[in-house]
Amino acid sequence: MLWTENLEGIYDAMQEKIWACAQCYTCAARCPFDNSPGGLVMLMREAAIKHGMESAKNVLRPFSRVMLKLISTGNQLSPDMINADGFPDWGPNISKVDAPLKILRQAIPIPTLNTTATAWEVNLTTSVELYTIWEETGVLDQLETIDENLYDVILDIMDEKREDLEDWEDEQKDD
Amino acid sequence: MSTGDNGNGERFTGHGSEWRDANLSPGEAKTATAWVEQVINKRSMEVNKDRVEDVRDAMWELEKDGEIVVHRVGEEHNPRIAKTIYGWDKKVPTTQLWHHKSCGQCGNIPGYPASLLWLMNEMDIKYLDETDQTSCTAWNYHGSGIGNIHSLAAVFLRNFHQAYVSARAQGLPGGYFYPLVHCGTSFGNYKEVRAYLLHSAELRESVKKILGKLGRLVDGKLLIPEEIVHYSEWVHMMRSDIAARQTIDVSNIRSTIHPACHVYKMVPEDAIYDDNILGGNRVAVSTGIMEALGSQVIDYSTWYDCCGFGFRHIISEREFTRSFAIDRKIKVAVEEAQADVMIGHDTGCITTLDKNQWIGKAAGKDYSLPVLADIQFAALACGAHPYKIVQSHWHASATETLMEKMGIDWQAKKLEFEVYLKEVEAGKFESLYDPRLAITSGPGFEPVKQLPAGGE
Repeated sequence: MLWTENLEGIYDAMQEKIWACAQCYTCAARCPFDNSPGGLVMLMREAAIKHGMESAKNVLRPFSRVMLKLISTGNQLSPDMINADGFPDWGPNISKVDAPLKILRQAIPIPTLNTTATAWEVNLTTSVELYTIWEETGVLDQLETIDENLYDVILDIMDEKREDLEDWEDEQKDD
Repeated sequence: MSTGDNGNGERFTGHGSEWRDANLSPGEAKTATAWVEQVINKRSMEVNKDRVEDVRDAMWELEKDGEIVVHRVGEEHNPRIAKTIYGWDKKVPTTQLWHHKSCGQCGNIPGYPASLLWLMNEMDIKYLDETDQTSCTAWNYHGSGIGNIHSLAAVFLRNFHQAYVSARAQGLPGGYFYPLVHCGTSFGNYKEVRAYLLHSAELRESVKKILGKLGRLVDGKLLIPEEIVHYSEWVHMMRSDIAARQTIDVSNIRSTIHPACHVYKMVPEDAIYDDNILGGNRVAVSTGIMEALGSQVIDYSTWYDCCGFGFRHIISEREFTRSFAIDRKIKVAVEEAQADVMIGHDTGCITTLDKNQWIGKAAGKDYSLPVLADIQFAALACGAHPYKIVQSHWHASATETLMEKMGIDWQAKKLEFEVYLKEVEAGKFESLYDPRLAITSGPGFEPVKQLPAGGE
């Protein structure tokens, strides 16, 4: 890349500029040489996380609730996260019908969506499979580098869900 | 949620400390960007490039060499053939579909998938909506950088393997259901990941170990889908069938389309184009169904722009998101195209464009433009209940003005829905399919035979 001789420039970019990218891939579409600067930004973000750079910690602090949800359940967000406290700039119309969230979710005619703490009901075995993927691909190591407390919380949840699945499997053997 | 404060009282914009606003006048800004619009607004920008390849060629070679198994779009899926940007064929399955859900759609725009399933029921399309799936995890990856090609590939292969084996719970063969991806980001991510998998033996070897550990190989091999199909492509190929069920005339509706970046800019060679739709210059999905329904599709100068979602920005840099959404998309659609509605086909875009209008009032930018997904608009035009099915109450934008222009008595329908909520509270609620089908293994599973049209 053009920055080969400018290590300081790369370092500076990784501290801040790489996080400005909106990942729209317009750069890739426009590039006459079919390169993908947006894709390169992703690699630089991964590197920033791997090395525990301050920029990554700053950026990911507001992301922690999302990461907790995603890593522990496989869903990025949930209905109970969308509320007036979390998104005051979205205005009063989180729902234009006044009813408890649980009732509104049960009124969605898709049974897998009658949930509030996850976007859809995720099978317990599915979540446990996902934990194996996180462990085997180094994602948990990334998380530990960036946010040790969140990492600990997620490990506890994973242990708990694995025990739940083992209990269910034991019950099946007994039946 | 946070405003992105870095703990020192400074907002973390990511622009760099040397960044300064150019303070261009509107005229100067137009001059500065006009050349960009002229260049980027055309299909030719994508087709005048070298290094273009159809990764499916590599896929067939790997299958021939015995390294992978390809999940084919078979005759039983009633495929229809679309043309992609380079004129290549893409097989779009139209029945026996496995719904691969979107966390954003299910989380805050539930009328999006509900409208899709409702229309599938109306057309006797067989499908499965089940709990054994995770999100693609790519929203988080593009926003935070947590994750990597190995985790994204393993999640892709796991979910698509589940789609392949899911029908066995109903006593049906492997491959019966074909995955239909709801989310635009999942669609772009999965296509990108599939290409990496087909090109990298090292990546295949690495994820094969993981998939083996999960029991997610077919005959000891990785399972790769022949086509990765977005729901908007299904809608596009079924547009005439949908329009045949239309009960509401929408010829008075001026619609603008917002195409999703991860649907057509990411892995563009797979996006569907049609010479009869917008001169073949722009991706055909969404415009196709809106034209088939008879609405007036109005062009606007920032058609090509991103919505401002930004993955991390919508959560922690919201001023960027809402400014971009209002100034570059909503304002232009209203002032330039005099639009009655903006139609999208992706989770993040609909969320961004729909939810970020209210705050504009604080800056005197009250545009009140209804925002819906193409399938929600289609369902409304076909007589779906605006609250029970289209779930329009979750939209912050002014969907009521659109319904009024379509001749829908939304106030009466809202009253009906409020009465229905009392029934729900009493434990009596409606479903688009037999709920027992949603669990295919593990806790809660009970064997059920396949029923027509996914339910009843």
